[in-house]
Amino acid sequence: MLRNIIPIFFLIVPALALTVEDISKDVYCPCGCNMLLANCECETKAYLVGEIQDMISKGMTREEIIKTLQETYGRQILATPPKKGFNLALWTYPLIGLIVGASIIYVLSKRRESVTWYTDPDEVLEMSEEDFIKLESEKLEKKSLHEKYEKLFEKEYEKFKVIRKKNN
Amino acid sequence: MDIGYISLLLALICSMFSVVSFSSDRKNLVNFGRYALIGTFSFVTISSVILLYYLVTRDFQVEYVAMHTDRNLPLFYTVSAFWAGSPGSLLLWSWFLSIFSVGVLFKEKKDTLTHYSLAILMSVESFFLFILIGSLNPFKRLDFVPIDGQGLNPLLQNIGMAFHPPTLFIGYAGLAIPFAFAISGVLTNNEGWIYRVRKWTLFSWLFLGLGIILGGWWAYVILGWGGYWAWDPVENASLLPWLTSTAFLHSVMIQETKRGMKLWNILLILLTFEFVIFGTFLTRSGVLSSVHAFAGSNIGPYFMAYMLSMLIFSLGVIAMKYDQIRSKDIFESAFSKETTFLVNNLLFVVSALTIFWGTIFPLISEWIKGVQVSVGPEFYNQIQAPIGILLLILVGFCVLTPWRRFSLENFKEMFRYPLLASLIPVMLLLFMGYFEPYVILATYFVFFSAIAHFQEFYQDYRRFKKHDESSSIFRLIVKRRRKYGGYLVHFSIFLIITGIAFSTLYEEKHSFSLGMGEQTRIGKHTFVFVDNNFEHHANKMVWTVELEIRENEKLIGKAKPTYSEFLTPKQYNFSPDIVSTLTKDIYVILEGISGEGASFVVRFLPLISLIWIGGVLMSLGIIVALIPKRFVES
Repeated sequence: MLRNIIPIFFLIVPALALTVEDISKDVYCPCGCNMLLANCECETKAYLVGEIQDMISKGMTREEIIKTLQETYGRQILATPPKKGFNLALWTYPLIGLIVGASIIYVLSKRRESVTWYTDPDEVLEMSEEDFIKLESEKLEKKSLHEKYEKLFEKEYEKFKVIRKKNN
Repeated sequence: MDIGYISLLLALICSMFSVVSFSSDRKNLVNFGRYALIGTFSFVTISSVILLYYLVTRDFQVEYVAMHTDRNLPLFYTVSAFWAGSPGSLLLWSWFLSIFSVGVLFKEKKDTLTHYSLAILMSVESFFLFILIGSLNPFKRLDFVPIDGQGLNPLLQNIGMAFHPPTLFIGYAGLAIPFAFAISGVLTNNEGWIYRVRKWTLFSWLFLGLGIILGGWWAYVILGWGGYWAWDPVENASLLPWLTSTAFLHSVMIQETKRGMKLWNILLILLTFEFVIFGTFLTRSGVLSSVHAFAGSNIGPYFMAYMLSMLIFSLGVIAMKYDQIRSKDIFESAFSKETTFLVNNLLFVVSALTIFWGTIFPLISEWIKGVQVSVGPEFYNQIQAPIGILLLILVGFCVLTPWRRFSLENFKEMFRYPLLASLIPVMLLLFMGYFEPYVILATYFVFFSAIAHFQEFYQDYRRFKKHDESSSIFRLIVKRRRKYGGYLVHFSIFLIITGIAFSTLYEEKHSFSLGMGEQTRIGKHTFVFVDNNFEHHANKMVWTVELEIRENEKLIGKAKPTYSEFLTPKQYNFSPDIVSTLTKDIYVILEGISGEGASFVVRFLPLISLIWIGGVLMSLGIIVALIPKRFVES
């Protein structure tokens, strides 16, 4: 059993070992270029990489190295704010936005009623303002015709009711 | 007083007259407004020509010329120095806006909707002219005449940087038009605004997108870290209006087809405009440090006041006319193309607001807690990558889902082929040894959505052939130009996402040193140091090293990375060289030279060229969507 575990242990250790790359991807170069240390190619980078390498050699953890760098170069050297304290406002914001937005969509999608569509939506999307005005006037014309016949129908129906009453 | 400055003053007077005239309903005043608008354009043009003249003739008494040029600067970059600083770039912004305003004046119907829009556009122009005259005067003269100028920042001496800012400013200035028409549409109760802004929005969106991609390309070819996007505050600021205008381009379709989402569309375009002003402000205020920002200035309070006043004015107009713009946002089914548009809008807006929040969070933290923090790429990547994947899934669903309602039968009929066929590329990837979950997910949904587009196009083509008795694909595309233009843009996004996923997750970085004639092998690639060269130019000294790159012993290209020392300003620069193949870029940067040897950093970036190809395809898609109706009818 132990014979199997030892080689696995040796495989894992290098994978878990802290490298300069791990740190340099998460801190800004203090030279003022506003680039991650991993991406900057200045002289300050070479110096800082050396410092980080020294700290790794001394057996310092990632957190300890970051803390030391922040003490020396300021808190803003860390590129990713930790998910705690006031910084939670940063991390939770997108989730809140998604939840609020999704709730609005849910409420909207619950509304049911027949809606007027002009014609094939794919055709409508290629229309110009003039086509739209024409379509609107046709719609208005149809609406007024509809109203006209509705009134006529009401009138006839009233007549019919009178006649029926007489007959009865 | 400088003649360029006087011209700016006259432009401001004209633009203010124009605002008053176009806001009036009196015909003679409106006519006067037209002349005032043309006057504004003419005076801003004169100022721009004068500044260009000062730059080209190297009038170093003009502070702007002395700060951004020198005697040895090539003519091309002398011209591009026009927008290298804050005052010049703001003048360019104003000039583009005046051109757009003239375009609206001559192209659009001469009615109240257009006149009110022009009043709003001219008010924006007045604000920029006011800033130029009051705080960022490009014609400011020094008390002495320097012998030479300070020169142009070497990083800006690149073709990408010569075109990136103007392209972006065209997009920014153009996006003021939909805002102006939207507010004017609310004021006049005229829904026709959505038709009038279509071409202007697409045109501006094209340039904004191109500007962003050009900026990324510039960062890639010049900054030497092999990346193209660093989530820098100024980069973010350019992406914000692009995201919200993308949401608008989708949601406006609901208004066009069934008069829905009226209020939302207006709010979206207002948000887009606010982001445009925010971007312009952020680049010039110096409130956040950025690779791209101009030197800090005192214009922050003006911009803040302007953004706030425009917000209050617009919301006031919306509140006043709320009853007219309220729409019946009703859905016949929870599953329809319309609802996918809603989700699309939610994702785009959440994405934009998250980026905005991340960008301003350092200020908020300092203001509330007194603690300085930085928000770097990790935050944005963690939030934006899942949103990107969701959008990728959604685009396929949106294309396959019919308008109005969607049944289970529809689902089986429409979805089975795309869902199944996209498993093939995923299996191929797994077989090739790519196991990264994001890559697998992105590949599956890229293919799903791409196949969905092909299927929909094929079905449209069959219907078209049957009803119109024509088998010309070209005719179908032109007839439904907006739809297929949009499809092309979707394809470009698929390419861009694939390029980002592969180049980020499978990037390899190697460092090595070589002496002249020596070689080193990395995998199947061999790098041979074949030559080095030194050149003394008028404004710089350049060391070039030549590396031969062989793949499986076959020569695939020569990389010539350089180290340059600029004389004015005293600065050095390592320029990478890139050898592109069909599947990857080999990005070579010279890290140092000593005696006969040199040290290099080489990055292998798979499929990165898809990002740039995507940019070209995106432009093509928008051009298709912009084909005018008269061309179709002829």
